[in-house]
Amino acid sequence: MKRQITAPRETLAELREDFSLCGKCKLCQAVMAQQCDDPRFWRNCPSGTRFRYEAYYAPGKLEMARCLDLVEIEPDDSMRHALYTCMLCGSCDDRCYPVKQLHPLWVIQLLREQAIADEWAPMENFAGLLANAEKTDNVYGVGAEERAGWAKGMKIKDALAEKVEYLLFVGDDYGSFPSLAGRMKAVAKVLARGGVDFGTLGTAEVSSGSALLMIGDRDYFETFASANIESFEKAGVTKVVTADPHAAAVLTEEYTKSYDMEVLSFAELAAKLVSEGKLKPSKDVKTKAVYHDPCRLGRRLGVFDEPREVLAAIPGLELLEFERARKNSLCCGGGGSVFMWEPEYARWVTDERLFEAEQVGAEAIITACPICVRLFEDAIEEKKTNMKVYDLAEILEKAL
Amino acid sequence: MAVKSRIREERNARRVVHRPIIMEKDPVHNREENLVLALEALKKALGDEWATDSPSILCGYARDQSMTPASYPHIVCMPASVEDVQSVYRIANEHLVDVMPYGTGLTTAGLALPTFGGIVADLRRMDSIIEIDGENMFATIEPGVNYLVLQVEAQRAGCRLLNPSTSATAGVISNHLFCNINTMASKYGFGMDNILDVEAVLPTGEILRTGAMSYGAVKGTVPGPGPDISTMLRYAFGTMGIVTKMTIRLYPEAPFHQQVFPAYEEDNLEVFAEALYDVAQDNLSLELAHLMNSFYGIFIGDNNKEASKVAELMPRHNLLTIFGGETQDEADLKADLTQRMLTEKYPMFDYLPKEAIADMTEENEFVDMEKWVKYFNVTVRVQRVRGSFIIGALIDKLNNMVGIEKTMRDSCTNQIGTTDDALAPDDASTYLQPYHMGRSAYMEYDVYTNQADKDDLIRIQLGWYSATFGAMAQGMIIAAGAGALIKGMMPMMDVAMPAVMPNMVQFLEAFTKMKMAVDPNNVSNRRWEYEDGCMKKFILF
Repeated sequence: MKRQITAPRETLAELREDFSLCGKCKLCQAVMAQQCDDPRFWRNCPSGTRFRYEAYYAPGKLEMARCLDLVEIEPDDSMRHALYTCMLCGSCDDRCYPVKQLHPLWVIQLLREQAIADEWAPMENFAGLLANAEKTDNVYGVGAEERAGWAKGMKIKDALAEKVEYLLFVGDDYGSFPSLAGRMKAVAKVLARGGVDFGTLGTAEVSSGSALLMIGDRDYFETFASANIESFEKAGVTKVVTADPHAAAVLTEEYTKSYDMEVLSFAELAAKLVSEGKLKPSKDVKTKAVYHDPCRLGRRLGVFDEPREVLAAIPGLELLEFERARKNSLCCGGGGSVFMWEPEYARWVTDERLFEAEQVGAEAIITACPICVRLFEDAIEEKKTNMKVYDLAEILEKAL
Repeated sequence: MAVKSRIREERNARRVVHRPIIMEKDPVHNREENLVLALEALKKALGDEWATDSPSILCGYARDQSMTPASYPHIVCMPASVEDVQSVYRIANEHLVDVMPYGTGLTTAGLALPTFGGIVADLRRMDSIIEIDGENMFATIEPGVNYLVLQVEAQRAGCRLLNPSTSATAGVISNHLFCNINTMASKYGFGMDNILDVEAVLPTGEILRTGAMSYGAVKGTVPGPGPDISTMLRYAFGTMGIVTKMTIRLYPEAPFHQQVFPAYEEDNLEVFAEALYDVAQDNLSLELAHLMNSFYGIFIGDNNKEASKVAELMPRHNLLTIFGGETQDEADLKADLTQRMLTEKYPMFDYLPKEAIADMTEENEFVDMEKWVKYFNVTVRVQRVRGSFIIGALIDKLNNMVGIEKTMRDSCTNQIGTTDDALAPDDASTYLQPYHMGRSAYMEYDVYTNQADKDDLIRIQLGWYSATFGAMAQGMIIAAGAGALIKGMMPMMDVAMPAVMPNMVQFLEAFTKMKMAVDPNNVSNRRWEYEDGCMKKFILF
């Protein structure tokens, strides 16, 4: 590891107030009480809703942290399961912080970091992910050449060879799955149509480290973050745009601790281009679509309005809202990398979200996260429904 | 991957190992070999997934937001049906293991903590609204149903609930059994007065059905043949069994509202108690409560800082009166009549113009009028600032609250210091709630302190005891609510109680006989031993 970008690190013990002061009001398991219009959709904690015991809700995890801190209990299989079925969607944090100024999400993240550091994390769950990262610099085990394959046939600048205004950071997912390659192309095409001067790191881009941070392996995360930052330095990057909210979150929250740059999500930049008249969606896209707020983009980075502004500008598109929308949005099942070791449970969460989309009368789900897109598509394929899934860039490109 | 853990090093360096009061050995109940058999039997009855003795699951049930020390269960199980609950009791009796019901776990007073360990029966899998009838205005529900869900469902049927001043995620059944203090109590009574029938599993495993449920009549219309034995489950806290279904009354949702805000800057509760009584007697208001300025702070502000700011902006004493009507004219007329009566009788009052609240909303970003109105009118939600501490009291006469409030204030101010993280004792606040047109009342006295501070915890304990016993001497009926818990709480209780409240002796004797009849093995929330009438351990609360 060449640098410790997040040193000095925060330890779980530093959050003692947070896990000692939980009043167990349990508002964290629900949507905002005043915004609940349909009781069928009042729950908002995926792991608590599925596994039911208190340990699977935020107050139970705060209690675990307190009891570990007080040396009342030792980690066991149930703790590992409860901790690593949390999707880190941040809904609990969003309910709790405004009322009590407590950060359950931070406690859960630091519990995971402690689990890795103290070697009681369920490492067998992460064996594949870690081996892939080791071999290919990508958590899905896709090599650099293959990852950069999405750009084939496109004239995209090499940010390491020539100066660009924006670095387009691809992230772990878009280059790793054939079904997402076309969507990444759409991102590049939209930016090009908007006159944005951008380039990529090509094969030099390695994993953002987001998945590694989510399992709690901060050391390994920093290895990847350092490698990327080194490339940023070489390329003289000052602005980054990414369509991957997981990458956007770590770039914003972690990378910027040691590298000064402006990070924009694709949704924010696209909304800016639309409002400035640089992008003019003019073709009809006739569909009744509902927008799914990805947890990292919405609750984590606060990007709620921008994607909706883009969609509102598309002619023919009837935009619907989920019962659980914006800050109340339910995770797609892809949060916290849980789908890698608990696929059935992740699918259960995805199915719940699909059910909600059907309930509001949507023909299509639009989202702005490659993990959400992939999970929805897989679930739809299995259920054989007619629901369509679009990435924000993809639907915008259709309208241009 | 092996990285030295700073946390572990720090922890070892501290060398402080806290041990909670945990899984104590009992020569009769909860014997180790029986617990193994009970867990095995529970897994067989409920399914492997729904019974566990894993410490990391158990720890979630060992504490609540009260100052009660940690008390771990030995086993947690999650029954999903009345048959499952019967199985839990069957197994508990077979192996002599204690059972503690756990509704949604929002208690602020340690009421769902398993005093002696045993089995915690988490009832949140039983979360169905079985029936909701807007025409006959009732709802039949299971114990996992919370106010948030039932309120939204009731509104769809044109009705509303008696919303208590608790979190929206509180369980309806457990809250209704434990009084249910709500702002409509002056008109419709507390939740416990609005229970139509119940289905409960007695500690022996037998099913008890009361009211209309027991003879199949149309629910919600008549209370059923007497005597109404469902009342024995009020305030029973699981000592008499587990309620698995309950039918409660709903009330019509008024489509139009109007508010009047009488306010009094002088710290004279006596005047306000009288005014509260007069408004309650008129019976025009739909919702009626007295709030001190700092109580407004909790409702409106989102955190301590905002709460303090709101408290500064508001007059010391405030009456909250909300009027409902089928038309706006009707609501306006009721509000106008009340204001005229108050103006005549209490010329010293100010009236906060509605514009003042609107101005406050405009000037202070955090004051959200819509949120505030919705809290009272529509949605239950209390935002407790961190570390709040509560004493709730039922009072036989509205006027008694003046002396009781003073006693509580003196006790708490003397005992509870301040830390950087707590509001000053001066910011302690009172909330008064007339009951049944003012014939009696509920008072809540809140002190905001830092529960993470050990010194504060000790002071709180002392303050609580001092305030409670002082207030009881002045007519506070805490024993009405805590009878099931007070019995045998400490060795001298049987001696102390007659001295403070002579009538309690007869009550406690009757309660003891009932408990012994329905729970011969003393497995359901065992509070005291049948042999000597005492608790096996002293519970600090």
